[in-house]
Amino acid sequence: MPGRGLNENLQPGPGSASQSDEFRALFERYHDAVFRQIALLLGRDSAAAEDVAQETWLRISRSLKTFEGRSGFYAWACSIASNEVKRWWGRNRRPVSLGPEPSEDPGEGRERNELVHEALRRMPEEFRQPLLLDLWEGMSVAEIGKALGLPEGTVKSRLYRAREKFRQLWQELQ
Amino acid sequence: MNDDFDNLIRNARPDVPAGARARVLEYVGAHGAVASAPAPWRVFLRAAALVLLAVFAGVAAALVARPAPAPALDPVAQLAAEVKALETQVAALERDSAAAQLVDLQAEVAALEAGRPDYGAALEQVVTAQLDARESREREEWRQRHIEHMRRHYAEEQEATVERLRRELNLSSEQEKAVRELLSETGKQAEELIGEVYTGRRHHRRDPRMHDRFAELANETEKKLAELLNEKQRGRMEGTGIVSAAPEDWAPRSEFRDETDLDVWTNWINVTRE
Repeated sequence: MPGRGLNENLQPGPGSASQSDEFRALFERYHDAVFRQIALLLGRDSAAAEDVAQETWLRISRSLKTFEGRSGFYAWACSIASNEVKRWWGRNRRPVSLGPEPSEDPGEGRERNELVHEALRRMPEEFRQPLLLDLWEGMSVAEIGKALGLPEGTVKSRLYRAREKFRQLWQELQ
Repeated sequence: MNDDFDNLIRNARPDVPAGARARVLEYVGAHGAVASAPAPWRVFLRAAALVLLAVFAGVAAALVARPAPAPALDPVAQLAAEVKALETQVAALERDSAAAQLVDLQAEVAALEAGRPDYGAALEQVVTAQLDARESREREEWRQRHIEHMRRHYAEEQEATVERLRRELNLSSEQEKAVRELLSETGKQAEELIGEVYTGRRHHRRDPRMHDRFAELANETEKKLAELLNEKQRGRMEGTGIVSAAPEDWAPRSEFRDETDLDVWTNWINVTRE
């Protein structure tokens, strides 16, 4: 879970070992959050999400030395994940149904989850990312600020607006 | 109501399959990325390969540099060399006889060229003027687009900030009015900072001072806000900025819709890169 004292705006040194350590720390911290973001954007089964996650982390590991820390690491990782999702769609057909596979509850619960995912997909990423870090990953405002490279005040106002936006999209989808 | 929506979203959280983490790591490691440090035997093999390469390079260089054996003195070859030297002299004599004519021709060409208008320079002037005019138009268009987008985005952000402060700090109506004025003033100053980028010749060029200037603007705003609050409110506000100090937040990417907007955003990121 988040909250470790990690330098997220890292500038890896020449030694591959330290870069490898940084990578492992970032991976441990953000793997689940990035995976869920991919699953949401992909709207397909978890096997497909896992394929995309593998490509995403491979790309991250290769590009880590070019990460300048201008945004937070999670925002950077999500932009790579988003590109990998697009590449995946380029190789595969568009989905017939929306939303990832159901977790436990079929029927009404599944439909509702699909609608929630659809509303989340329609949100601008600057609102979606802090909202999901809050509600899916349980991060604090300070942790979200660090993950996205934003001041806490901005995170708070974006969370507020994200909830407003979600409510509006939810009503449109009903 | 918010809690209802929060629970709705929480319940729709996708599961991460068991073992996914390990499989991703394995995949990244198998493709030779930074996930794992090289094994010691692999380091040794690499070093050995480098040493071998250096040895081969040395041998090759020695072979190339070795002087060729001196040819034996041959009377026939000596004669051939003398004939060749004579031929060279004859060729030089022939060339020299035409040299004077060539000089005359060159003088004529120079005279003709001196009298000809400099079309090249004129064309260059026209092209430069066109490029300048185009750049000015583009600069002005980008400036307007950027400020327009920033205004719209900032107005929404400002509303959300005021709403949040009202809720969290129980602002009085006078305080709320003062906070609105403060945020509007900050917005205007940010517009000026952005507008300056598009004037003069700073377009497209990195300007590292922008980070300091936006940080200063954010600090100043926070200080002024603190002056508007009472002791208790100040305590609750501590450590949370109300406007962003990062220049990239003053060009909201998701607000941009078409290619020109993307150009504006790219340019801004270029100008403000550290």
